[in-house]
Formats: sequence, C-alpha cells, structure tokens
Amino acid sequence: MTASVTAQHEKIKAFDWEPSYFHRDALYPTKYKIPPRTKDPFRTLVREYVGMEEEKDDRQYGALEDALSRMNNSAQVEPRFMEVLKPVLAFVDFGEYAAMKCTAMLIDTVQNPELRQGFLAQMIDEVRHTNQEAYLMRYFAKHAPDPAGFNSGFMMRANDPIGRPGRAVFEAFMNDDPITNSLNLQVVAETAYTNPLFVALTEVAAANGDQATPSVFLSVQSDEARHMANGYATLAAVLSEPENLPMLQEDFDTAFWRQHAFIDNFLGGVNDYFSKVRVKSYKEFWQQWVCEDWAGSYIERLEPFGLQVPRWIHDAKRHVEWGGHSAAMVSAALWPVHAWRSDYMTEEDFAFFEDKYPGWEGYYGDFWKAYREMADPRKGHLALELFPAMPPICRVCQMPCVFPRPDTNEVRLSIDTAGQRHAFCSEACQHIFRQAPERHCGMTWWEVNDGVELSRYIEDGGLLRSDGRTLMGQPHVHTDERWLWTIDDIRRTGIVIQDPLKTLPAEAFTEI
Amino acid sequence: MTTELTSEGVVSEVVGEGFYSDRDLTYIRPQKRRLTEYEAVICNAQPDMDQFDSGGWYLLRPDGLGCQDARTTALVHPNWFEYRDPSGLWQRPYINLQAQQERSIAGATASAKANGAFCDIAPGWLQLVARYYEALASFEWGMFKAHAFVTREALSDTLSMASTFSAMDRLRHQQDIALYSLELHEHSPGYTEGAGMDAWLNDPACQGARRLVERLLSLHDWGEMVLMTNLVVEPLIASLIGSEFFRRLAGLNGDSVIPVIEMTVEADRRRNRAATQELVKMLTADTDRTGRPVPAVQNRELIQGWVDSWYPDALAAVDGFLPVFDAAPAGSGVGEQARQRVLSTTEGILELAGFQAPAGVTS
Repeated sequence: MTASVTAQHEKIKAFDWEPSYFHRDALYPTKYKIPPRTKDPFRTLVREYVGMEEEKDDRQYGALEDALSRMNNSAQVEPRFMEVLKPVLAFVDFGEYAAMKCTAMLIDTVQNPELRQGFLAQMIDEVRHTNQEAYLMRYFAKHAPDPAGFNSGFMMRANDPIGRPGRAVFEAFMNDDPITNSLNLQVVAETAYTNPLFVALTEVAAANGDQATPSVFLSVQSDEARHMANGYATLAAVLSEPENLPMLQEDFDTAFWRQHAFIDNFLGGVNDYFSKVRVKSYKEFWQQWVCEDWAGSYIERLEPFGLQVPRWIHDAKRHVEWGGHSAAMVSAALWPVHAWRSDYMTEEDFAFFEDKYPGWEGYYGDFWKAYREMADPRKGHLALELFPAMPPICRVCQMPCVFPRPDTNEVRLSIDTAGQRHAFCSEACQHIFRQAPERHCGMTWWEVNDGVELSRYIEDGGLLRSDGRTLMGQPHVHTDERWLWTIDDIRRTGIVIQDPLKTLPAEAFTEI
Repeated sequence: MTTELTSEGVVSEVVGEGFYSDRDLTYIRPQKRRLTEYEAVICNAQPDMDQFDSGGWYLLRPDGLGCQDARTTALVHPNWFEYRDPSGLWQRPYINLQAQQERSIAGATASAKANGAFCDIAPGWLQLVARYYEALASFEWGMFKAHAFVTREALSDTLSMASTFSAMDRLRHQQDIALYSLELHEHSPGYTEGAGMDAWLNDPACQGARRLVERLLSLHDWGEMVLMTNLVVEPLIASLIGSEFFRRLAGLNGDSVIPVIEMTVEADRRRNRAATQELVKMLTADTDRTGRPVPAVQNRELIQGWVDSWYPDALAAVDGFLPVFDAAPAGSGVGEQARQRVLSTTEGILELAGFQAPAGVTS
C-alpha cells in the first residue's frame, strides 16, 4: 500500500517554516493580503510531472523531427500564413519567458503553500514553452521555404515596431506587484487569451497546411489549463479578503486593458490578414473565447464576491470590431521594416472581410487596393505614402494610435511638465499612464528612429537577405525575382523615418 | 509544393532554394563552432538593452528598477549573455534527466517494498531518518525558495534557466524525501513520519544548516546566492548531511533507497557546481569574448570576500551536525573523517575557482 495522493500532497507542503536567524523583507512586496491556506490548484508531484512532460515532449518533438520533416510539411503551408509565424513565435516566446519570471516572483512572495505549489510547477512549464517556441522558430528556419525572419527572430522582435508593443505588454507580467503580475499573466492573458492564441491559431494553422505549429501549440495549451487554475486560485484567494477588493478591481481593469491593447489588435491582424484558408473571423473567436467564456462566464461568476467585469470591456468590444484591421493596415504600410512578408489582399479576401465585418470595404478597401498596386517594385511607391501622416505611438501600450479605426481614432495628446510629448491610444492607456508616469518612460519606435533614412534602418537592422540587397520584408509573397524589393528600390524612395509627434502643433497637446 | 496552395505569386522552384537566407538562427554567437540546440532555444529569450533592445524599458518596477537591472548584483560583467551552462541542458533534456532519476528512485522503492527490505532497516537508523532526513527536506525547500529571485533577476537567459533547473533539483530532492518518509511510515514498523520539523527548528545539530539557508533566503544579491550556494554551502553542509551521512551510512543500516536518492542528488550537485565554476571563469577572465575588459580583480575580491564571510558559517553548520554521526549505528567515529573529506573537497573546489578558504577556520 502507498500513501494516498492527498496524503502525499499534504506531506510535501509540510516543510516550510518561519525563519528566525535572518529576516528579509519581501523583495517583491505585495499590497494584497493573501490567506494563509487555500485550495490546492495544482496537485502534481515532481515525480509525476517529469514523467508526464517527458511523454508530451517525446510526442511533440518526435512529430517535428520525424514525420513532419520527412513529409516536408513546411513546404506545404500557405506562404501567406507561414509569414505570420515569424512574429508570432518570436513575440509570444517573450510572453512565456516573462511568465517564468512572474512565477519566480510569486514563489518568493506568496507564503500560501497551496498557491506556491501551483506557481512552482508553472515556472518550469514556462521554461518548457520558451524552449518549445524557440525550437519551432529554428525548425522553420531550417525547413520553411522562406527562412528569413525565423532566422533572426529575437533580434527582429526587439527592433520591430510591432514587436516592441509585444515587449511592452509582457513586461507587465514581471514588473509590478507580484499579484498584479499574476492578474496580467494568469487571470487575463492565460485565461482569456491563450485560447484565441493557442487553440484558434492551431485551427487556422492546420487549415493552412501547417501541422508543426499545432503539434507545439496544443502541447503548450495542455499546460495552460493548469495555469488558468493557478489564476483562478490566486484570484479567489485575493477575493476572500474584502479589503483587497478596491485595489484588485483597479489592477484587474488595468491588466485587462494592457493585454487587450496589444493582443487583440495583433491577433486580429494575424488571424484575418494572414490566413489563406479561412476558419473564422477574429471577431468571432473573440466573441466566443474572450467575451462569452472569459468575461461572460469566468469573471461574471466572481461578481457575487465583488469583482466586476473589467471597466473597459465595452471599449474593448467596440475596438475589436475594427482594431485588428487598423493594426494590420499600419503594419502592412510599414512592411519594409518587418522581417516577414505582408501579403496583399485579393478579391476573395475582400469578400470575406465585407461578409464578416460589414462596412469594411468602405473603411479599408481603398488602402488594400492601393497596397496591391504598390506591391510591384517597378511602381516605386511604398504604402507609407498612403498616409497623410503616420499615426503616433501610444506611450503605454506602444501600439499605433489608430483605434478603433484611423478615422475614428481616440488618440489623446499630452505634454508633461518637462515638456515631453506623449500620445495615448485611448482613455484607458492615458489613465494607466497617469497612475504612475515615472514608470512609463520607454521611447517609442518613432522616437528611437526619428531622422533615420528608411534604407539605413533596413541595412543597420539586419533586414536584408544574405544576398545583401533583397529585403526580408516584402509587400507580397511572390518569389519571382522581378517582384522582389531590394535596398536600391527603398533608397530611391528617399523616405526618412519621422516622429509624427514632433511635427504636430503645440496647441494639439494638453497638459497631463 | 502541393497544388492546393493558393497564395499568389509563389513559384515552387524558387521558394525551394532557401530564398537567399541562412538556414539557422543568425543572432546568436555560438560558444563553439556550431550553434547548439541549447543555445538555439534559450539564447536571447531575455530582452536586454545591451543586446538588441533599445529605448529603455516600457514599465519600470514600482521601486524604479528596470525590467532587468545590473544593480541586482555587485558582480560586474560587460556581457552576461556570454554565459553558457556547461551541462547544455534545456527543458527537454533536463526533464528527461530528472524523469530518469525519478524512475530509479521509484524502482528502488518498489523493489524495497516487494522484497521486504523496509523491514530490515536498523531501528536506530530509522529514528535518525525520521528526524534528520526530513530536516534535510526543509533545508532543500529553503534552497528551492532561495533560487526564486535568482531566476527573476539573473542578467541573462542562460543564467535564469540554469537557476530554474537548479531550483527544481532542490524541489525534487525535497519531495523525494517527503515521499520516502511516507513509504517508511507505511512499511517500516517503528517509523513515524513528521518528526523532521521539530529537529529542523530545535535540534542543535540542525541549527547551523538552518541558519545558513535562512541567510541565503535573506540575500538581495543573486550572484552571491549562486556562488555561495555552489562553492561553499552545498560542498560543505549538503555534502556532509546528504552524502557523508545519509548516502554512506544508509547501506550499512539496511536502507537501500536513500543511497539511490542521494546519488541522483549528487549528480545534480555536480552539475550545478560545474555551472558555477563556469560563471566564475567568465567573471574572472581578463576580457569578454569580444575583447572588452572584465573587472576581474574587482569580481575576484568580491567573491573572496563572500567566501570569507560564508565559510565560517558553513563550517559551523558542519561541526554542529557531527554529533549525529555518533548517534548512528555504524557511524561512530566516522564524523571526523567525513568532516575532513568535505573540507578537503570544498578547498579543492575553491582552489579550482581561484579562491581560498579563509585562513584559520579550517582546522
């Protein structure tokens, strides 16, 4: 006979003690009161865990190394879709890595043994995901028809104007009160958004011929279910202390908006503009996973305990209608600075958009028609020229201030007492900034690169292919050489990167 | 290329050629000639303003620290991202390694249950296991917790990952002890689980070890935590209790499982020590790989100062535990030999790293 599972789980938690020889105040203090004991969200022993993960790893890496490589699966993926895996894998990988750091902080701070057991297993899960996604990125560098961008992944994400907001959102997993970090990571990102990411994108990947990504993402998602349980257990523990509620609501509202501001707009573009074979619109995925399952079921069930759905959920819902389109349009206009190719839209795509987002053609159709025309380098024009002025970038989320649509954007322009100009994409981001302006000091992509010639940016940023002249990014997925933009084509445009905030008149700004 | 693809403008003969691009990650400078799998899946996962990122962090911490901040250790290096764990472990091989070690332990335990070996264990030994082996689990739990801030603060991904694995090593050991204690409770007449906490908190033999781990838990410098754990604390006290006492004496007392557990732990300890020696090597080199100067003298003096400060505490912990040897069946008189062995081994470890045990405290 062996001791019961319950006895084993109780036993392993019985070795903690209160230090008496040395004392250190928490390195990562929390303002929240956490009850000393709660339910155990993660009842897995290390012995079981390593066996379970070993088996999952064998299945996943075995599939990649054996069957999918032999079948040359990467060559059978729609090129348009394959391109978007370049940013997705590189950006999401930092989310996993930041999650590892988040759980390390929780382990250090939270004394509750049940919660801590959950955090410690999650910490090693996040190492797993970080490694899996980097492995997949390298796998595609080796096997994809176009390795550019996969091969420069983490360098590319650091410089890219869409990669930088990815860093901004995931820094919120590890740079705050540990419980606030947990709200960002476990309660919002993992519970609301890993389904649209790892499950929905898996469906889209498979529909577009990619079997490698589903192998990895579904394996990742099998761990995420446990992390959601961690989030729920943490939230329930915090809610059980009534005095936590006012600050919890504020942090929760902020966490939701921060995650939404990048993830929804990014994933909207990923899903809707990089699928060739379409499954659903991002709006439909969002409605199902975020609106109904998360806000409508998971969060609403906590209302009796005083937690309200996030303050800006209705703004988010309004923005989701168009946000992905606006982000995709700006991203496409910036195609020369990306390490991935941004395909143009065809009549079939136009029909899909109009069907799923009635009115789309009126708002975005002209841009995409012109974009397609401009795909040919012999025309000599960049889609950047379609904008009278490029939008400023939000100081908080680092996304372009074009939401929900460029023509109905909700940008707020402010100037601080030191004379520095700031743009905010929304009332929510401005509110977040006002809570602690001194913590939001990072420079926008415009500020970092203001005055740099576009061609110089591309050369210095490692955005040329190994022939030394062809751009990694292209406004199409054509492979005929005559369609490929070279650095000479960019030089001829004479475009210089300019921070739009600098050219705006002083009266456009209000004091923050 | 299949004919089903519908993306426009794709010509299979062209796309099959590698499209003018390197077919491996280009942003990592391999330590050796070829990029390893370990480097590929870990390197540059951590953003850094001195690597590729620019413009500052987007969310400073409430205390003003950056997301990753050089002020979290007094050690200085121009490029922490040069660090490579000599074990080359990333998640998959690490999990594979630990799954294998756990199967060894589970197998030894199952065999001992099947062949009745649990009933052969000397009663006097069981009493010591009940108190001190469980107390060792508290030591390991503390060591696990002490790694958490290293994982958070370490200034490169390779260091953070190594810390995470090192933390999990301790957790594995702690749980192995806990589960073994439950097995003994079930199968060895006279054994009562749960006696370890009293020993850990109150028994004079454990107070030196507890003091050490509590001191580690009080640190603010992640570099000090890593270096002192693997150069001083574990070579002295963890080796003395885990290897010299439990692993060596268990077999003599009919306990066939503890040596298996401890041999897996010794393998982890060797791995972590090698990883630390590599870190010391990097910190005390004249230059980094691109020729930038490393403040080797400053780092060396700092680390020697830590050794001078930690060594007496660790030695006191060793001396505090020695009476337990005398209480063990077949242990009488071997404590002093064990002490000499761990001292000698630790001095060798320090010497290899270029440091010395402080004069006057080793005898």
